[in-house]
Amino acid sequence: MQPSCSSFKQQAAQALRDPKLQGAFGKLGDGLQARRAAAVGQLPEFEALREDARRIKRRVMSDLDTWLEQFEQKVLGQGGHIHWASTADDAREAILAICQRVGAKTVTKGKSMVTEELGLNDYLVDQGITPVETDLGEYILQLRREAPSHIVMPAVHLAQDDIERTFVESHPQLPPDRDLSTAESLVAEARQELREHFFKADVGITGANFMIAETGSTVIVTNEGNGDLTQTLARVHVVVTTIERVIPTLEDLSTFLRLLPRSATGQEATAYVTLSSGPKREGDMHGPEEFHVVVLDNGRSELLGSENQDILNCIRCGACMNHCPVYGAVGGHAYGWVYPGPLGAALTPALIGVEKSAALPNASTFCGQCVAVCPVKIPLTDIMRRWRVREHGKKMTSPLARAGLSAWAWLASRPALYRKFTGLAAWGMALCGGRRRRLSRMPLAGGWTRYRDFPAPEGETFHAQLAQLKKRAAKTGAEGLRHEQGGAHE
Amino acid sequence: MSKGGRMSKARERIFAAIRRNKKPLADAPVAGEGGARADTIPTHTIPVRTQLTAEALCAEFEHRLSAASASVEWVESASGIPAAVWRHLSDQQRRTQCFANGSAAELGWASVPELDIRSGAGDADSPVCITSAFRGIAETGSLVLLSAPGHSSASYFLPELLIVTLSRRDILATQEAVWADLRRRPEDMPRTVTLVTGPSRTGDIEQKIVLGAHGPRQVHVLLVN
Ligand code: SF4
Repeated sequence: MQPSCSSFKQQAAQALRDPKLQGAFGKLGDGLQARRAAAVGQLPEFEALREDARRIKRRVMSDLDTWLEQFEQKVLGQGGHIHWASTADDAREAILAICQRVGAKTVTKGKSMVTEELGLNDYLVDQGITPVETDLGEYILQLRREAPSHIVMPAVHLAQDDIERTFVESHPQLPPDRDLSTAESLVAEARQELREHFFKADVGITGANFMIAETGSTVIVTNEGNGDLTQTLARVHVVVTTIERVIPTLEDLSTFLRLLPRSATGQEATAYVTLSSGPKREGDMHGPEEFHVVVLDNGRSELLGSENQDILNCIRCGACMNHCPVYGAVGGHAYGWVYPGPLGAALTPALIGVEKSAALPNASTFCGQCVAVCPVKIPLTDIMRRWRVREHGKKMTSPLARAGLSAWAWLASRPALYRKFTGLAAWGMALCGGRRRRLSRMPLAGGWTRYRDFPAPEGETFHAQLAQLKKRAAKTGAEGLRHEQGGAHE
Repeated sequence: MSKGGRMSKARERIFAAIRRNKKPLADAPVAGEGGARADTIPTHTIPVRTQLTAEALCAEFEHRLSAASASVEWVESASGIPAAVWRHLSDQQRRTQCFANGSAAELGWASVPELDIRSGAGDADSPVCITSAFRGIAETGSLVLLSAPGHSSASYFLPELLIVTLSRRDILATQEAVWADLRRRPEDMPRTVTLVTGPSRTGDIEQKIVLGAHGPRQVHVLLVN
């Protein structure tokens, strides 16, 4: 997938003007947030589990090679194959080689963001192999030739009537006057259409939420059951995943399984969690004859040991985007690559370079909601801030912004002058605000005032108020000072 | 370069980068010497709600099953299962072929001769499948289904109605208890271990929850006393 992250601003503006998209997100409202809150509220241990999860991840990352080697040995010991892929090219070629060796014509696919990262579908089509997405959301998007706009709910930007129209156009063999007016009828039609593909496919490709070193298993956490049909009915199962997904033991898995569904969809548990270990055994009625795991790096190993390492802890729950005011306003496509929202803003620069994606870490208000809900406690805003610093260091920011920042830095390092200046500015702004106490125009703030007024300051600056407070407290010597000061800093 | 050669190059590159970049934890045991070994079982937070008496365990399991939109019924003994299945089926389902596997295949199906039961490597695509669970998990109302000789793992996902038998003593509190039982078995890890929590579902169309996306629309659990 060709990234278009640098056009974030234009893409976001377009999204804000798109009534369909705004309608879909309007309908969504804060439903996802409410569902998560309810599920989390019912588990008093949720915070403790987050801390456990963070600890598990830190431990894994500190010894990632050891865990991956143990996983590899187990997979090989169970008759599976493992393919290491340093780059997206390596991974695509490894997958193609498997498909070609077994003479695959069609490939069914469970939901996998890593295969989006590889642009796998287009690649396979170019090689004469037909990929069929089987997750309902992904299937709809494949028919519409669109990319997912969310990592958990790929078609969240679509309305039901969009999907109805897509099905009418894409299934011409069915009676045109059939009733597709309900979500149930649409789901039933997709179920029927895809059933045959599961049986026909030569190769089934799935992602993996986790790899377990102890057992050599790959794990998928799903609700529809398509991933399981994909991997059970095809002759060959190919798992496509990335190096940071390995965890040590089954017990570690259980901790993540208590966090992931609650954070993602507000469920206590998803309908299915499947651990897959190697190919079909003797006496098994079903299952693939071959089991392959393609483990991709694609820049992740360079995050290890870096100040941004924690983004590798992500378990792809989507909570950060569900709680992000920017994502909620512009949707996932505006971000211009595979991973949207705060996750994308923190991860994408590491994978495709800050040169191509600096707009993403800037697309944040730093309200910190993402950090507050992230089940593995990734300091997303800190990471974004560090990408901004990197961007600034590479002189990629605009000359005006750089000049403004330098001027501010010059002023801020001269406290007396700074106080004078801000005091004067507050006084001036209050004056211009007049009786309305609002400014409808301001130099250098057109981006703000074009859409809304700027509230004029009332009274003195924070610094001045604090100084007065201190003076008063010194007079009374009151205990209260520490309280008030603490409050002022929050 | 040959494909294999390229891959081992990639492996070398990845592992070299990891070893170059990884930062050991200050507070961790030494790697490789008991530190990074998957045979030391960690203990993490376990929800208090899973500390239950034997009685409460069954009640909690039933409660969580119905919260996950599955239905439950108790039968006195395994010999009562065929009749319970017959009662549960709709008229239409009674006329279709049913597929039984696992220990469910060996039940006295002759007691309901009206039922067309196939077993062995039968048709996993039947609208009704009956199978047996390895364990149940009270914490979430999950059924643990294994792939094993005599079991069709496809039949867990293909039918409209999945009926699962489980004996009372196999209801455990947590996943952790199930992992311990799996380790205790003499056999290797089964090819698949699936935790099933209610019917298949999707929310991909405007967040409306629809049951039976690709897998069963209904899951019915027969608990054997
Ligand atoms: S960054 Fe955190 S909240 Fe966002 S998807 Fe990853 S784990 Fe979930």
